[in-house]
Amino acid sequence: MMNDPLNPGPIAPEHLSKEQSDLYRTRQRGRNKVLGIVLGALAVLFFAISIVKIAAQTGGAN
Amino acid sequence: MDSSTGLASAPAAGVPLPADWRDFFALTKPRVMTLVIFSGLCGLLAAPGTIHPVIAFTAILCIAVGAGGAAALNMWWEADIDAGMKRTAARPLPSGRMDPTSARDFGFALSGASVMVMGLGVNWLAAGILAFSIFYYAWIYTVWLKPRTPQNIVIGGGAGAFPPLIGWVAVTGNITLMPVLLFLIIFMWTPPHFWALALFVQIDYAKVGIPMMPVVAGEKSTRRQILIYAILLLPVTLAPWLIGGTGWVYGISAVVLGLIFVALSIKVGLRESVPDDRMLPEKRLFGYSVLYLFVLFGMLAGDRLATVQGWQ
Repeated sequence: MMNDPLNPGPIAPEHLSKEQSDLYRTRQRGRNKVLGIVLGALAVLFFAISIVKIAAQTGGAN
Repeated sequence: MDSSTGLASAPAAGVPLPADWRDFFALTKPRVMTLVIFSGLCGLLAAPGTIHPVIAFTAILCIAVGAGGAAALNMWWEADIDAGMKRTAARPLPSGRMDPTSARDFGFALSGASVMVMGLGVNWLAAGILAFSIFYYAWIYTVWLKPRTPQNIVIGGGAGAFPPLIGWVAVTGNITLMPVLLFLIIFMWTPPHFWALALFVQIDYAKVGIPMMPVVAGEKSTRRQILIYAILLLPVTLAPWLIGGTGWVYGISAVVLGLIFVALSIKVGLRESVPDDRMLPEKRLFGYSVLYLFVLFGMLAGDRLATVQGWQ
């Protein structure tokens, strides 16, 4: 992976004070939870769309 | 923001932190999105034909996510302008709670995903119009027109006029006169709605150099144009009824709502502000204009329901 001197990437929590690190982890956890919920909801939605499309095509063929 | 890390700083502590998920949500302009979702849903409900509830939900979700993506791109581009205005200075980017790259990527991701899902799940005509509406708002309005012409709102209003058109096309798969009229209603509604707001926040716009109508053409001209657009809006809202696209439920609602809109616009159009003016007629018109659109499009959907049920 290339190293970009202008953007070295996120600061690791271990380089922060305890308070800063706690806040960092809280935010990361919050983001991960929301992302997980969104991805789960999308999986359900795509499944539902697929079922509806397949049902419509099957109905059209009959 | 700390440009070397790409992470936003917490303003109070100066600590580099990843942006909170609530700030990403704020980028989508949730309050504007409610009107987008509502008008899109009404366009979908008013359209002749049937659509499976899952596909209808997908269409509305894509309209909402697309609008959110366009809003995020708008906030990314206008971060400097937002920082100079009291109304927008607390947004995630100007307040330093988020780095611009995250906002930009978030905007592109939402925009791209909404168009793809709309195309694959609903139909590609609706997806194409959604893609164009995002481009229209993020580029034509935000980047091109807004900083250049006082007519920015007139042409830019088209961006907000797409949702009912997309909702309609999601059901029918084609464009006819009716969805174009729905587009025109919001297109004509936007100038008096936004200029009423611009009249009582004009100091902010002047400060950041945005050529909003009251700043460039003056208050008197803006008031006159608010009245002209409000009068022109009335026949446009009646057109769906007059061409037989809707019944009397919508028609009578459009007449009553439109006359109130014109009456409030007359108060704004024919007055002049005085020093330390509280601008109450302007605030009243702005508040009513939001209610007006909600009720008018609600009646459009209600009219379709009444027709399906055989009540008219």
